[in-house]
Amino acid sequence: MTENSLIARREGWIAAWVDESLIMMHAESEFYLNLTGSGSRIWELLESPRSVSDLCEALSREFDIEPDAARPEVLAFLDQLLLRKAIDVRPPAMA
Amino acid sequence: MSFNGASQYGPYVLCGWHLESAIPLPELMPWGESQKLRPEESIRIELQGSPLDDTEDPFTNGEDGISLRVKGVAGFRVNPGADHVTVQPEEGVDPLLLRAYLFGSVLAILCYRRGLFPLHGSCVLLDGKAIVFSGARGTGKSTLATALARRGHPLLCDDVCAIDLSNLRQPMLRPAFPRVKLLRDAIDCFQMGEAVTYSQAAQGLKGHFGVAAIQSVEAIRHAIPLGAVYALDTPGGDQVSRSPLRGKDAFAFIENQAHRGWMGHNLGLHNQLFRHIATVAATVPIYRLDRPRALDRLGEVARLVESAHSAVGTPSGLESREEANLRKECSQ
Repeated sequence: MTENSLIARREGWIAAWVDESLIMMHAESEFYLNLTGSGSRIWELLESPRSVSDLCEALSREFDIEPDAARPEVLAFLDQLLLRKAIDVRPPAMA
Repeated sequence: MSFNGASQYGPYVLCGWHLESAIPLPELMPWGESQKLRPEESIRIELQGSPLDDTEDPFTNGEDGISLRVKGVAGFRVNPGADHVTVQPEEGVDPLLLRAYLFGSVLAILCYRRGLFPLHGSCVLLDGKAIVFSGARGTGKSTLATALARRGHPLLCDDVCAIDLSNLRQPMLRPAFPRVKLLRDAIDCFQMGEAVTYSQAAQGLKGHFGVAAIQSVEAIRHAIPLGAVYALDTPGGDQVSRSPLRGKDAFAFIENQAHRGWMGHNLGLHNQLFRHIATVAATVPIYRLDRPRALDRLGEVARLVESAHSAVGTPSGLESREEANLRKECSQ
């Protein structure tokens, strides 16, 4: 995954807010995820596919930090989502 | 018993539905004369005497509907429209046990298929709101609901709490009937001897259980705003206190107490189930209730819940006569 990779939600996930938690379920496997804080915001931002750098910029504006400072955490979080089959990562060429 | 499928008992009201049955269902309130009958809210229960195929799966979902096979009790089938239940009782089955499954698993299937959320728990009416006690088997849901019912807060249902989420901002409870399944020690504690019908089955749903009739109220016929859900754990410790459950903890608890939640998923209702669980967790206050195990502290627990939800609570230090009796009886 690089800065220019295009990140898209995978099909089959549904999500709902419960208090400050964004609870997600993969319907077929009944697998649950609980996103909070910037994590839940990233999922919302992914309503349409975005590049990693685009995500970092959007988050840096909202959370008042430098995009460069946000990048490592964003990438680590996206890795977690990828591991749990919640997102697809497409190379920039396909964007 | 007649096997011609005629529905000669009722009409009754169950979760707001108009119910006619080939089996007598003495737990239920009669359908109200003034209640508006809507065809899509009508259900019939019919009997079929044909012998059961023993190789049948315990739970199947096919073109002719959903079948549930409970060994030693009966076979049940709910048609695809969920307005028709066929019961095939095994010979000599205890009617109380049969009805426990009818008002448990079969009612849960009806709820799922009719877009309601069946939450596992017991429920009372407190100051115009439905208050649910939910939790795993043996955590004292029915006992606590009974304690509140005996303090004048009508019992609305036991085991399956049918929740209507058609208004996403205000979940409504659709009451079932004012009877509660209790274990022997609780029956003795409440001195309910004459109000209890005992299961003839050696192994009831609750070991040796009895069903206690509690005075029914007109409210049973109407949907009632859901006011709170109390999450019960196995009692222990010395404290009587409540604390709010929020976010993922609230969600996880409700998810865990969806009545036969696996059936909902098995019926392919993943999305419906998820939305329902999330809506209940997000809109209804959910509290964890800590309390001691001793039944003689039950009055204290009931009073905590009562004062939290009543506009006018019982002044502390004043103990009702019933509570004093209860304390005396249970400490012997």
